[in-house]
Amino acid sequence: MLSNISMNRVAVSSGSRFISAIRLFSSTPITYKPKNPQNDAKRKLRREQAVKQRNKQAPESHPLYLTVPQAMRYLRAAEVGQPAKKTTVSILMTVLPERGSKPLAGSVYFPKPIKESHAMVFSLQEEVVAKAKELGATYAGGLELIEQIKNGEVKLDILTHAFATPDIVKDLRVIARQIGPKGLMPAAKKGTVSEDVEALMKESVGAFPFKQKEQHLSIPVGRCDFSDEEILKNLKAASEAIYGCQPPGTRKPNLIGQTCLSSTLGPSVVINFKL
Amino acid sequence: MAKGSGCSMFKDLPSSRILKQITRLNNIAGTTESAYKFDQSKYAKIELFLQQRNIHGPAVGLKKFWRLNLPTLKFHNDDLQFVLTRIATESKADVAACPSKIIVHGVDPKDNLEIDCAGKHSSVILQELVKATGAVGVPADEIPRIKTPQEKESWA
Repeated sequence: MLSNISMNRVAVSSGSRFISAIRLFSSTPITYKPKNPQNDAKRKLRREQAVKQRNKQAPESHPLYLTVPQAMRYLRAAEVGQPAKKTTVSILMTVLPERGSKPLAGSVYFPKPIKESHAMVFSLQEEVVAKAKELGATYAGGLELIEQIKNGEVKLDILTHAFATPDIVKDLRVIARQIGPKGLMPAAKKGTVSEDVEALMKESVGAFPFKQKEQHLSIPVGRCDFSDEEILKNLKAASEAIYGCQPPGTRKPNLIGQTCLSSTLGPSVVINFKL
Repeated sequence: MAKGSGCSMFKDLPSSRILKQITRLNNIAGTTESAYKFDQSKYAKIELFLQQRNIHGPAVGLKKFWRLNLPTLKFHNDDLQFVLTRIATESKADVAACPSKIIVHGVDPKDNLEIDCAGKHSSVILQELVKATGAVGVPADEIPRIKTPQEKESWA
């Protein structure tokens, strides 16, 4: 404190004689004081440790802790009257990265997907087309399917994925104008063109990718019109995917801290997310 | 940028994150004056009809009722269906003709009720709904209340 108090002679004038006034404390603010890097580093470390400590504590001790059924009761009440599509329930997790560790990333397969995925498969080989239809592709075919899309008989709006075998790629150029802007053009670079369409379909259809951004990870897990059991199942799938996406045996795993459940318009509560 | 949200549902809340959420949760759970339980064996669905845009004048009461009171009613009557139907209006004649009402659907169609809410305050709408359906007030000990950290041990 005393270091900031200094005798300053400040000249007050308006063109006439100078009148010097003595002020008892410095007019320069405390922010201009020369910084002590050691103290700053210490303070930063202390703050990081406090945050770590807070995130390691059990979620049950948090004042905003609720069990998932209780939380869903509040969220459904908050979203009353809203159309079902607009009531997304999502979780927000605090992830404290260790130095030199990769951010968490992967895919979750929800037992009850929030958005139904529809896949389209192009192939000149009939067995591939038949297999794709078995696996649940909404549209599967070869040149006839391309003709149908060209004529506008196929509704492209509901489709989320499109795959193709390498033999039909050149024929797809005819409809490139229609499927390209919708992101449905199979391309080798994207990884949607392959001989083994079956494996591609199994991997991506129904998977929801997640990526950690700085210190948070947020994914939607359902809607308010899902039942409590469906939300719990989705949460369990998400929990397994997220805790499992760190390769085993890492010496410095990312610390997964507080997890909050919230909805579009509802309040946010802390839940126990661990397996 | 003005401090605080312009939306009236989130006004007057404490600025601390934990206190704000606790206040919101307690507002949803309601008080003895706003929490009522409907007879689930008699009524199956409560439907609100509200104008889609530019709500003013006679429709304001129902909108406030939807945002302030309906969450508490839904919280205490989780199995009851609550539906809101927004009616799009084009001209001034449409706006004048647009209904602002609540229809309570009974399990037996004979028990259907209609409450006109045009020009009424949200508290008046609540009282009329409670009276018409014979709803029972929820006693104070059945309303869950989340304690703030000052009332509990502190969260370190």
